[in-house]
Amino acid sequence: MFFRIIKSSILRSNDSKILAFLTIFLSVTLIACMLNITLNIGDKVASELRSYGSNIVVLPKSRNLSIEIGGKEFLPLKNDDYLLESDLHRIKEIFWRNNITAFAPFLSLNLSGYDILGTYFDKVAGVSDEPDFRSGVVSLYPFWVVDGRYPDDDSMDAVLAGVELGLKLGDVINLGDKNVKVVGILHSSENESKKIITSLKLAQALANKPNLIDKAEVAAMTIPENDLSVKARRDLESLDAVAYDKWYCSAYVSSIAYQISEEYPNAAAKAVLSVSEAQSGITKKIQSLMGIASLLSLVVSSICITSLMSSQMYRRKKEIGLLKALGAGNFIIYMQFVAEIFVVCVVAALLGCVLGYALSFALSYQIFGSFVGMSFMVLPLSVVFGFLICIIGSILPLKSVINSLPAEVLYGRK
Amino acid sequence: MVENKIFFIKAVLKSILSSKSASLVMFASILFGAAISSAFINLYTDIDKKVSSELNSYGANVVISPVNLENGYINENELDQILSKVKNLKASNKYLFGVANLGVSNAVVMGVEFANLKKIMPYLDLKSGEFVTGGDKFALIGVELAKQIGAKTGDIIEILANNEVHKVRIKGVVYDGQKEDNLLIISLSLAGEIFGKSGLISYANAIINGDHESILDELNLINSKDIKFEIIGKISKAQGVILDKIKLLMLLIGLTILLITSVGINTTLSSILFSRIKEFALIRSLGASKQSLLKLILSEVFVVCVSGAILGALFGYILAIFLGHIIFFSGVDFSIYSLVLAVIISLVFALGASFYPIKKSLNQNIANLLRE
Repeated sequence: MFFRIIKSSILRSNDSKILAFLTIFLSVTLIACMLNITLNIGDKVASELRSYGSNIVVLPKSRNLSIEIGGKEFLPLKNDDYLLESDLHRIKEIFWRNNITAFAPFLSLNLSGYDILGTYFDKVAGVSDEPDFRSGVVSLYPFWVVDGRYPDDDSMDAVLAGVELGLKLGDVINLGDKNVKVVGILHSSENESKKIITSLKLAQALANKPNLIDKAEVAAMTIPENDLSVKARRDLESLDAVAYDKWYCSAYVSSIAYQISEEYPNAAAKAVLSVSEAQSGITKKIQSLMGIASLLSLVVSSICITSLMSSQMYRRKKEIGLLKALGAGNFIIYMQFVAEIFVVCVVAALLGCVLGYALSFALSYQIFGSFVGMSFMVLPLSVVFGFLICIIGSILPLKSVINSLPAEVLYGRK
Repeated sequence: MVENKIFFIKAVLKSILSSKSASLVMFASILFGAAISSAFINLYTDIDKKVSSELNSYGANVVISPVNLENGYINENELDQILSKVKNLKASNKYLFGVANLGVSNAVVMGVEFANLKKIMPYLDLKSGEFVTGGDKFALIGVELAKQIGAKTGDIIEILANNEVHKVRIKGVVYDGQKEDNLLIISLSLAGEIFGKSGLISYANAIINGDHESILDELNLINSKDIKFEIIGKISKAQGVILDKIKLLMLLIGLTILLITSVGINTTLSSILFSRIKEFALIRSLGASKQSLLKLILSEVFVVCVSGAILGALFGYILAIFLGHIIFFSGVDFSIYSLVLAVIISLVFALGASFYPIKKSLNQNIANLLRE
């Protein structure tokens, strides 16, 4: 009997059922879409923020960053410790390999009155399992603007010149015993504006340091910092085993840096806070924006359903009165209405969720120019949300009607 | 005709006042829709400023250095004079570098204005201890340097330069993954005293509010033959990109929510109008033409909607302030433009929502409706 009542009520499908379906369907679509974007936006924003520069620097263990003020080195801390270029590929062979988007090695020297910086431009990095992964400053520093062209990797006679050196395209300069030609002028990079940028191979040859590099810089996609990662950053020893595992298995900038230190012989990798904090802050902002939007959608759709249900209850007063007159308890009547809306809701929520996924792909393609991932969390969450909307929306109007006396309702007067 | 007009107005008012609950629901849903759209339009018109000031709070975007780098210093007073004229200056800091002997080994010492350190380097993190708020007697030490010379929070460090010894107490060990990790950070005045460079600085940096172009314009107004102001290109460019993305996101979110709201208004209005179909049929059977019935219904909807929309738009502004505080920790500027726009949008939605039910109620077979 119960099922028959529900079936007939739904199949008699008046306009209000369709409207309820539409409301839930749309709200769930939007909530699913927002959720999917919110849960996956970290990576997207991180790749947008790549232009802030690299967020991890890899140095030899016993060496410190040179202190450069305005492009001039201040008290070069003299020590002859280097990393091996042949170990570079290990950076992209850690647990979080897929989060490493770009890296480049650097070797600097001073020769013939020029500050020279050797690096990769866009070179096949020799990563195992990913034979065609290319990396270098072209992808690491997207903010570099070059007039002319980048030199080829391993080129021994073509270089980039920083804009403040005042060199022109085609100039030939003399570095040690080699004559090189300026094939590109580098703009929009404060640190390199007075330097000659060469291929790593040329710099190693000039410095007579084959297979050695000063440091490597890495751009990694990370999740925003939170209490755990800040605690780990300040004092890793203070984490207990569970917290440590959680930190180690999350893509925090500090844990990615830590894993690079583990894999790369003789290296210490550090998070560059000025970059990673900005990334983390902006990502959090956008997430809170989306979160608030999802919440608003939830509130709005609940209100919609409530008003819809109220008018429906009002129209079905007689039916409720009849049910009561026939001896149905309040609970059964509640159940009947909730079950009705529940059936509508589940169907609408599932469909809405599918459309929500599709919409989030489309949106993310529009905004970020690439597809967002799939979070399977979204499916149960949006169905739950849909259900919440229904429950909130139908209990309230029912309450007002259900306690009226059958006689009153059936007779149609107060 | 005059009679008609009076009757018409009476009819509209009567129907609004007599069906209190239905009108109220309609009013509430329109109010809600207008509030949401007004909140989002308000936020959206203000978002440029909000987001750029947000993005500017992550670190310096302007570097100030001496024109002559070889052995060059900036005169502090000259710089102060220039900076006092910069309109959108949010924060600035000055630095003086020098090499000093710390007993164990040589190290680079950086003099800063401690009061501005956290504003210009919000990312500087403490490994231990606390930040220095001021005073010449305290210092911060970079984590790598601390390791090197075996110093920790609370230690007294002796700085030896020009055959004089100055003692500072280490308040905290700092870390940011950059050059600060290898520095001893002391107050600017003490650094000037130690290195005999009082009133001079090595370089300075600043946060100027605005986007890439407006900062460039601001810097172009400055002319100084000794001091060079440069915008940090990568940061302000990245900001432009992020700002566009966030704006697009906001726009989409606003539209989405408006869409839900409009569906809500639609469902509400439809159900209200459907429940009054009998009444409409009665009016028709009394001889009203379709046109006059349409006029009646629309006027009614219009009266309720306009009042709802205007009130809603005002509410929306309050909501916008609230959201602004949640998201950006600051209020939102009021713009009459967004108010008007919100009212228009919600009216369009309301009228769009009434279209289908009205059409349906006009084209029904009257006899059938009345007999039901």
